[in-house]
Amino acid sequence: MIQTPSQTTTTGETRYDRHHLIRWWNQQRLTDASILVAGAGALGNEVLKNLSLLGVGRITIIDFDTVSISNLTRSVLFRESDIGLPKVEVARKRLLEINPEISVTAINGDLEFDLGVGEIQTHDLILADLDSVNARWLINQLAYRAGIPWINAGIGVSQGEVSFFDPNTEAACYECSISEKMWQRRNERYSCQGLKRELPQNTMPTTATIASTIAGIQVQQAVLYLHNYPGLLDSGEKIYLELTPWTTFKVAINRRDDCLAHDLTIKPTVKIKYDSNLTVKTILEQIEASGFTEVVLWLRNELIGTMQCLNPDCTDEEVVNRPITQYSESKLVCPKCGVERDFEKISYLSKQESNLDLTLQDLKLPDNEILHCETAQGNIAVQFLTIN
Amino acid sequence: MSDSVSIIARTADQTRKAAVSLPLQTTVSQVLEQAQQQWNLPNDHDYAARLERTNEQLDSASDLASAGVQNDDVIEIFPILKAG
Ligand SMILES: [Zn+2]
Ligand SMILES: [Zn+2]
Repeated sequence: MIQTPSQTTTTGETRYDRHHLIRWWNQQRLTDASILVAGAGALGNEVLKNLSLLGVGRITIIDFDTVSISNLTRSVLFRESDIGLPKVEVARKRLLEINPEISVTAINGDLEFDLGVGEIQTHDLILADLDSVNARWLINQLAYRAGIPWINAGIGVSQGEVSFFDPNTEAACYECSISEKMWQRRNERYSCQGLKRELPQNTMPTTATIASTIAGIQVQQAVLYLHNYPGLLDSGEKIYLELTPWTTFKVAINRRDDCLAHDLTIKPTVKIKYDSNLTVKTILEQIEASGFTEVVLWLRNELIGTMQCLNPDCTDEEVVNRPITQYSESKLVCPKCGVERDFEKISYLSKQESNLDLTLQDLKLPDNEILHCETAQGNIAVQFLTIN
Repeated sequence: MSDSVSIIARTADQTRKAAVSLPLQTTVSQVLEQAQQQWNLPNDHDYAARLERTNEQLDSASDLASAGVQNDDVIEIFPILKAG
């Protein structure tokens, strides 16, 4: 598609005229900006609408869900005729109607598995509009691995919060604020081995009014960050806003000394061309060829390798090769004899312990992933690059 | 030196309020839990504590002493908002 310059009418008026009147505004900074929006629910809709109106040049949206009728009370981008369609596809179409001058990438997927850390690094900022502590913890991990700041938002019925976390500072991150009780609640959704439990989703009451209020603050923080204009939220700070009764304050979240998220950022030392047929053997050899020995390449998501029945009389064996947290606990039962099965967990790759024939495809590695790697020469990061 | 601290605990919207004296080893999460039970706050929410004097969101694992809580401090309890 040919990029057309900003439309001018016969009166000489242009799309961003009102923005240009703001003393500190830099429209070009917004045009050049790239923002990842995680979640296209009530908040995500409002955030995306704002970003496209503002003229943020490149927007990526990730969400795995489809449009349902109950979304229509809070989702300005969705229509009744969109029911059943992927939220990200519908949102993309509507954003381009609002502003044809921007580019929008839709990823109909799961942020835990379908977004490489290197891909995240192509953005200036992440806006998270998610609906669970677990999803926010995951985006925090991704942001700190990538070294990209993120803005969190959450809503209730008449209250909301917006917080800002920048891995390039010493301030608290989202994980610093997760209490023991929040971990417990999160862990209830997974077995002790880490398998997913099929529990009903918590549906939470929300309305369009609080979603638009909080999304407005979240996007304003993004605009200010892009302009390097301080004053709303510093890293590690959170705004709490309640409309009835009127209550508002800002807090600085205490950083936890034992929080592991802050040590996740490492610049890639070895770059490998991404090819889904690349085997573990070749990968490890390529890392060694760059001068590293005793290589242990850690996966970001642990996988289930082969599932084996515990019944000595049963021969059931299944090659699964799927992330543990994606695999349902109910599938542990052997389909042949009904006895429980055990599985091999793949957490890292090494010449001594790994199945060297596994490919990147088997490992479910997304494009442009960056993995941490231990070597005799110290810790490095390895990037799997797709070259166009 | 006293091993307890007298504070005012209240919800952020100020609909619930209590003056309490607590041992300094009480953890922030114990304060949150007690408030949640005493005041019958919704069980499906998680809560955080704000020390009004410093505008900090306290680490729930630390105790009142290491969180720097002093006599006459006000601790505000507010929900963590999870919907999107
Ligand atoms: Zn942290
Ligand atoms: Zn069996």
